[in-house]
Amino acid sequence: MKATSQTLEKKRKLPPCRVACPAGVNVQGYVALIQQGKFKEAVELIRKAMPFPAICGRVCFSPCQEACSRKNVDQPVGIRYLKRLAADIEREQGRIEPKASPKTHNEKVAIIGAGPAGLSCAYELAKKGYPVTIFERMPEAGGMMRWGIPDYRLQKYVVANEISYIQDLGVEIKTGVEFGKKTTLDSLRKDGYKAIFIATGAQLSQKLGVPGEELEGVYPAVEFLRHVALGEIPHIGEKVAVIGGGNTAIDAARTALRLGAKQVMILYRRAKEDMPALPVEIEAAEEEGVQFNFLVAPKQILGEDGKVKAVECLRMKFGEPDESGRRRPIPIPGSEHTYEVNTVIPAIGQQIETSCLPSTLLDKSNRAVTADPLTLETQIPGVFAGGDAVTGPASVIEAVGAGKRAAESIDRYLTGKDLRAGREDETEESTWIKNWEQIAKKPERYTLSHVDVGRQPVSFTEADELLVKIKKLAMSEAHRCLECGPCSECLGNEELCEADKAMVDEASCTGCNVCALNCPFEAIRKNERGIAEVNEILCKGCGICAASCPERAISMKKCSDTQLLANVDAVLGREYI
Amino acid sequence: MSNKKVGAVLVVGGGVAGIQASLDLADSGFRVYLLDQSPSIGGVMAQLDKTFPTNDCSMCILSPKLVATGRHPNITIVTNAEITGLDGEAGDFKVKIKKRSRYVIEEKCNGCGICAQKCPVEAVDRFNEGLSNRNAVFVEYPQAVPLKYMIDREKCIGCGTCYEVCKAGAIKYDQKDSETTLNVGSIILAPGFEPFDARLKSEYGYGRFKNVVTSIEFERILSASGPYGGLVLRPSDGEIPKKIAFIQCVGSRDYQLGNTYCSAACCMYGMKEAVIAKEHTPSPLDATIFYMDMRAYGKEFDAYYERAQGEWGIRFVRSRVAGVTEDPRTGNLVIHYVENETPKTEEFDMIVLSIGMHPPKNIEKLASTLGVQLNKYKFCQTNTFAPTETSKPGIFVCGAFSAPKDIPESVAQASGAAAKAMEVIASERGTLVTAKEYPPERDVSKEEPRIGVFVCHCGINIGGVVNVPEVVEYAKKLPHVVYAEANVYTCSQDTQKLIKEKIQQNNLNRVIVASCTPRTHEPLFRETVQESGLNPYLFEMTNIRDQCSWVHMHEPKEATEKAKDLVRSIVAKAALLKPLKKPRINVTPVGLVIGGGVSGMTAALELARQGFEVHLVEREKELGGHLRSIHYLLEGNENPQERLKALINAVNENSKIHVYTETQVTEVSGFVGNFKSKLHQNNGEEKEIEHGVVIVATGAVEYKPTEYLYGKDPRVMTQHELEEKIANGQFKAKNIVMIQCVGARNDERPNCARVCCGQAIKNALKIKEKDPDAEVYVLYKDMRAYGFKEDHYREAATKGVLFVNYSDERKPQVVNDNGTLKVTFYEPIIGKEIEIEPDALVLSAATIPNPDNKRLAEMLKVPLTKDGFFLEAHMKLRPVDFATDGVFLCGMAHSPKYIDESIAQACAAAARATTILAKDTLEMEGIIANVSEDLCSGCRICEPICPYGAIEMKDKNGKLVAHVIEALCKGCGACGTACPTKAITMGHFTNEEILAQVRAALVEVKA
Amino acid sequence: MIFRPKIVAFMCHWSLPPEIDVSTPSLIRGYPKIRIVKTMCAGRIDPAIVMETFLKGADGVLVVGCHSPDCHYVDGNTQAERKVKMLKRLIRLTGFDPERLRLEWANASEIENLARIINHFRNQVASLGASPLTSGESNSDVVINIKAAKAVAENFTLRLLVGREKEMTENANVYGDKVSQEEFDRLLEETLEAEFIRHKIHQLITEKPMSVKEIAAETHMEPSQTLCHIVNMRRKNMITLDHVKGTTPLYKALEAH
Repeated sequence: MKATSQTLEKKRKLPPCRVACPAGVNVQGYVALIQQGKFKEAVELIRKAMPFPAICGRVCFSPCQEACSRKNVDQPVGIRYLKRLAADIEREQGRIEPKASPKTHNEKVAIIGAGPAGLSCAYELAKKGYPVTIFERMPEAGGMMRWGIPDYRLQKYVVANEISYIQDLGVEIKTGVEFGKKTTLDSLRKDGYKAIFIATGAQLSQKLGVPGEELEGVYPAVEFLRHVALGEIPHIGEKVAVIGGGNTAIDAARTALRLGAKQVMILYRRAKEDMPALPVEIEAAEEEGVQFNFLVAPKQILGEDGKVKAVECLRMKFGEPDESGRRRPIPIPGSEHTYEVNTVIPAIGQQIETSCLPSTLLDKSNRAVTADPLTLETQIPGVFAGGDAVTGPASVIEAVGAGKRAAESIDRYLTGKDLRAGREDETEESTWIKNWEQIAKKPERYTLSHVDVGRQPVSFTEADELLVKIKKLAMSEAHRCLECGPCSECLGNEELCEADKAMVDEASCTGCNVCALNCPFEAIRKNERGIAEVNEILCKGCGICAASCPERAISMKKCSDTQLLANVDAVLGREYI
Repeated sequence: MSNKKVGAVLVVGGGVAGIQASLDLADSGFRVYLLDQSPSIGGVMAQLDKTFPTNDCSMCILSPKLVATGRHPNITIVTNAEITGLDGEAGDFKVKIKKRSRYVIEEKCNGCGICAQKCPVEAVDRFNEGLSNRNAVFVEYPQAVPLKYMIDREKCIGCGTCYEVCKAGAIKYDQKDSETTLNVGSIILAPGFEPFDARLKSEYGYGRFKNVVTSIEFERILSASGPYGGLVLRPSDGEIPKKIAFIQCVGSRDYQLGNTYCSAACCMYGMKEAVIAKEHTPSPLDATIFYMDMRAYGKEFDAYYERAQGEWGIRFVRSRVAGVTEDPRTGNLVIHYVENETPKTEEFDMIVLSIGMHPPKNIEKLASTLGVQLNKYKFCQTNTFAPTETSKPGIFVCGAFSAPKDIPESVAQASGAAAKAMEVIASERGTLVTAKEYPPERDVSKEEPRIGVFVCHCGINIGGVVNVPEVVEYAKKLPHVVYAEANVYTCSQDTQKLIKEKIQQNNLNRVIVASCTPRTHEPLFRETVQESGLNPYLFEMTNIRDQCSWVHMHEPKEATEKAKDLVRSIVAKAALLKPLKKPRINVTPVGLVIGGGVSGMTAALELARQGFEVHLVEREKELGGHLRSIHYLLEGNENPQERLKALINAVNENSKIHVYTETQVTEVSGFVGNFKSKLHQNNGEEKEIEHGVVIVATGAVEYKPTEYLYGKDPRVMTQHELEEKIANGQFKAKNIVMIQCVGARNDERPNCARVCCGQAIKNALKIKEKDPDAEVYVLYKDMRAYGFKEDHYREAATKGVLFVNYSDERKPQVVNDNGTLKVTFYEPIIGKEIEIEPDALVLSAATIPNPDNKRLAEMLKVPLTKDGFFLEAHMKLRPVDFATDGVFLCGMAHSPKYIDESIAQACAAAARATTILAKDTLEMEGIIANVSEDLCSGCRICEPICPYGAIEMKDKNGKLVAHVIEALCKGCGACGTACPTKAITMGHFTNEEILAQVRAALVEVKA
Repeated sequence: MIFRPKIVAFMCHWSLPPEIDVSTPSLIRGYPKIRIVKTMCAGRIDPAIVMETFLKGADGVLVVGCHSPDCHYVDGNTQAERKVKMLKRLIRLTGFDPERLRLEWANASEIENLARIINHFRNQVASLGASPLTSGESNSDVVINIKAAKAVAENFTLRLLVGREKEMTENANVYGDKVSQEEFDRLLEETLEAEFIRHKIHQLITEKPMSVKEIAAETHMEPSQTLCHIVNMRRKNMITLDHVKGTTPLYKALEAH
């Protein structure tokens, strides 16, 4: 016998996708909207959590997708593509213009760095009604999104579009302002900024630390990509070696190919499955002809006339797992061999440029900004820091998460609220699927006539039809969502769905437990008095409990029996031909 | 034989006999395990509507005993259980018990019934004999003890609803059958009987014709709590019958079926059912009883028979019904029978079959497990001089399992078996029982009343109708109430703990529970308050279940208002409550037995064997009484005289028994536990003795006929005289006529003398045995050869004894025609007058009360029947008690009876007496009358009003004042109401308390 | 004039094509119009509401939910299936045609399929003619039967059994045994029959007290069987003895509390 009479926890259970997202994007919600073809609404819903639907639709490493329950059935739902499509459709068909939030606060906030962290922070604060100014060293805002990710992956106009959305909200972005020179913490204070968020990122490539790094033809990846982005195309040779296994390495390799390199190889000291780069990126690189050499590490870069000639490597073997859980590569002595190359692009990581920051903000090693991991406060009151500057290089979405957190802290700081209260246990339980067996049958659901998108359209009509097909394909993909979370709060059907909740008439309930047995979402359970109690967070308003309750003790707030019968009366009374 | 003895008894069977035996044993200081194979105790008596001859409601009189058994600290009820093995011997048995799972945790179930209310599955209700349905989770009947629900695993579909709705968490689906071993000193078998399966008597159509029902079904039909709500209906169409026939002896006295014995109780219950049916039918009902002999042999039974024929207008037809047919259109039934040699038919609306008693199902298995012998009918084998003993030492029997019998006989035999069971382990009395200790009582006299009110939801029993939280809130605002709360089940173990905590925390000095009936629950709550240091009389209870949620089920608002009224009114009373003391009186552990016949001697011997001193007083020179004139038995080959000699020896040799022959008791004073009596011996010696109990065993005498030339012709003699002659070898007659009912069943003595039929059969058989050619005529009204005596009746008939029925209208005529004795009688079968010239006329003279009874009754302040026999406290359930505590009766002083019946009753009286003698002190009820001597005018009005003789007048400084004998007062309040000077007040029910309660009850409820 | 049946379709939100606007009775081109009441899930359809809808005069009731594994609420559709199955058994007892109730599956992208379903059902109901409940006779046998059936659909026992059907037949009962569907159906049928007849009796004696024989005549039952029901209905406080006329007890209904 199942013990049923335990106290009903009021804890919300979120779908794993939403829990996994550092920015807390309501994934199930926008997928639900896409199911119904509501692409714009989907984008709006994403924007509630973060300002970069199109960017993340392209470059996010999508922890949501990794967490997707659907992977237990077959493949995860293609969340990132759905997001991208929704964002693209929205952009193409006319962006939903943001409503500039009324400025309800006077306290000015300064944000240093217009990367994803800084922009997100600005976005959140602007929505809260703060006057926000971002100071950016580069000529254009966007940070790594603008300068670190190559065009073929993330076109500049996409970035520009999303930034302009933030600006439309009222955020001021001052570019070309180098922090640490004229603009300092003190100067900002003097200018009336009550709070400052430092999100300067990690803009420097990490050195390989092998002889020959100073040779001509060695381009650190970040700088390499930035130059490309700036239009300052560096000269590269025919043979290029990229060292490293992350996205930046792939970006550099694929960019090199596009710059005319005949042969691009990636040298990586671990195995393919250990590469931090997105698998699709790796695949794409392979398709484009990038060669991969695994379990090799550069010992030195050999030069000739001050120019790169070759890179000498050692073969590696695996040792014990290191702290990241991956097997530690150990050089095999005497395994030296060389690759003839003209260009070497080290892409083994990024560093924080600390020169512009006051030393009080830095950690002991002077390599990162110290901030409280939860509140992002630094040692200086009113100064917060987050993003890569604190964590070291991470992803866009993690930076967005940090920016949001900073915004929350700053708001609390400026309104004199406790910075920590209620945030520590923010971690929310992920969903509990009650009936896997049933849910696992879902793949059989949506049968759609085959959509052929292989051929390029030649006419506008064809393009239009193709879009319809693509949309249907997307809706179909969205329908693969198992909806394993509770109400997704997509706000797609306010007239009935989310607004409706079951209600128990305690006096009539005898505790027979039929409701709990039949509720697909564990949203109704018996309390310690043996009376059914609805967890409104979990309740999706389907009304199964109300229809099943043997005592008829459960009614729906909106779709009550009376309402249903009134609807019956209404339709029966209607004239039809 | 091992010396180890165990002070515990196992009683097998929880019918009225088992219950009585258990209560007697437990009250006498032994631990009792009462085992029943069904989920609750009560047996067949619980199914009955009314009981004869008093027409008492069966459940009303049984249920106090059920409740007492259920909450007796020394009785463990083991239900759903059967015996699977036995080891050891008398004094130290080890009994293996298998207990079937109830799927309900008994400790947790509080009987609220919501499980049954919500159970989706219906099953046939066996308690209602299949006439209605119950649910798959059920109790047999609402008053069931223990009131623990049970899942009928056969019917249960396992939906889990009962588990979910049970707020007490009592349902346990994985509960397993369990086995235990009980260690007991003796065992009493009271498994009762199995009603005859009327289908086997196929000619009566039971099972085929809807309107043919069995007598037990009919009991349920009559019962107000039965399927038809007490209205007699025809099962075929729900119409009230206008004409009912009762067919007697269905499955009894039936040679074809092999059930040749008489089931002993059917004549009376048939009559009773006919009478009650008439009472329960709004339109005039024609009731006819088809019978062979109307065997109304018990005490006052014939008086009932008379009333049935006269006052109640029941028609009696002496005929064995041949068959029943049905008119399929109407469902009416046609009875085919022969009366006066003429085949007749008669149509009825409904037929009730008075089904006989069969031995319990599977009894052979139990008997072989226990090593107990059965008789040829598979009832328990016993013998005349040991009516409660089985063939195995230490195992005793009572109730219908020893032979078919009615309730009072069963109850008496049960007490008798209890005495025998105690005797085995008398040395272990008190070793396995527990006495309860309470904390010292808190003095609340200086405190303002601080009342706590606990309102019970009773699951949904109350809470489903009455708005309990509202009542609680209301109670909180009442004067003196300092605490109020609602409980799901106020009676649960947890809540008892909680009440005690709340008493401490809130310093409560009055406690009120608003829940169900005080009848079942008041003692529990009193104990709870006592456990927390309050006087138990500072507790009050009000019944918002029966009074509110049950009767006003459809008016929840009104029910809630009424609950508030009740609470308000009881709060008003509670504020005035005073602590009361329960007086304790000492007990003199000595018995006085008046009468030295077989009953008196047996009773004395039993008490002595229990370890008590006994004074045995006999008026005659020698012990033995009536038994001295019995020389042979109807059943069995034992020699009564030898047995008598052995009995007298045993009495004389027992050092605890003081025998006084040629002695009379001349004065008895005092009360239970503390009697003083004066003995007057014929030699003039006077002696005063002190004793705790009195057993009256004064026997009866044979009627000296004045009719039929008795005393005028030497050939005319009584049965006793005949027996004497046969025993002496002086009887030589060849042609003998016996006339039954001489001096009995007439206007002067309407009741049957019970033993004469058996005597006549016995003597007739003896005559035939000595001289098979002798002609014996027995002229009778009804041959009352009940029980196994029927066999001897048949044997006599087979051997040529001629039994001729006569009626009061045509009594036999006896004349002495010039020295020739002529007996003339009407032979109804041939329809002619017959004249016989017998050489011996034997009169079956009635057994009449001892003429000394009147004197003794006055002395003991106990009543007599109209006939002059002693009148027991209750004909059905207290057959050997008097209403006066501490006085008991047995044997023929009660009514005529056979030896085995007298012995059983004597043992019973001893057992009942033991329940008093076994205690050092007796605790009396605290609610008693108090006399203010200042106010008392000595008018003596109260004295005769007291039904218990509890008021005596005392001289107080020259002034005569009433005095209450605490030990006798039952707190009824009759004296207080009558007292013209208001000198008598009743504890717990003072005028002030009652008036406060009434006043508060009448205050208008605010809208 | 052609008979145009009034059909009420209870449609689940998720099976309702977005093209259909519930608020105005427009519909798919070329197909008959239908009266739609939208709920979030077909599992919301309370059996009592279906019966009430018939009482209100619907000639047919269509319940549309999502295809078997498609339910937005995991198994709301199978819940609906169980309820409709029970209702059909119940309706069969009333003499009303169970074909007037139908459960169908569709999804939001299948507007043509839906149209076909509707058309088919509409034709079927049209062939059955107008609902006997719309004849205006308030006390006809079928009205009483449907009222009784509605009371059954509101009844604890039935709802409980249907509510536990899945657990018991697919999972296990409390003793860990799986109850076979046949066994469950048998129990359901028995309970339905008993409850239906009891509620019918209840309906019959709501207005005026009746005797066992009269009730038996009305319900086409053996009087003895009727009496058994009367006994059990008294036990459950559904009815009470009103008075006795001669030798005939008359019973009347008690209102449910």
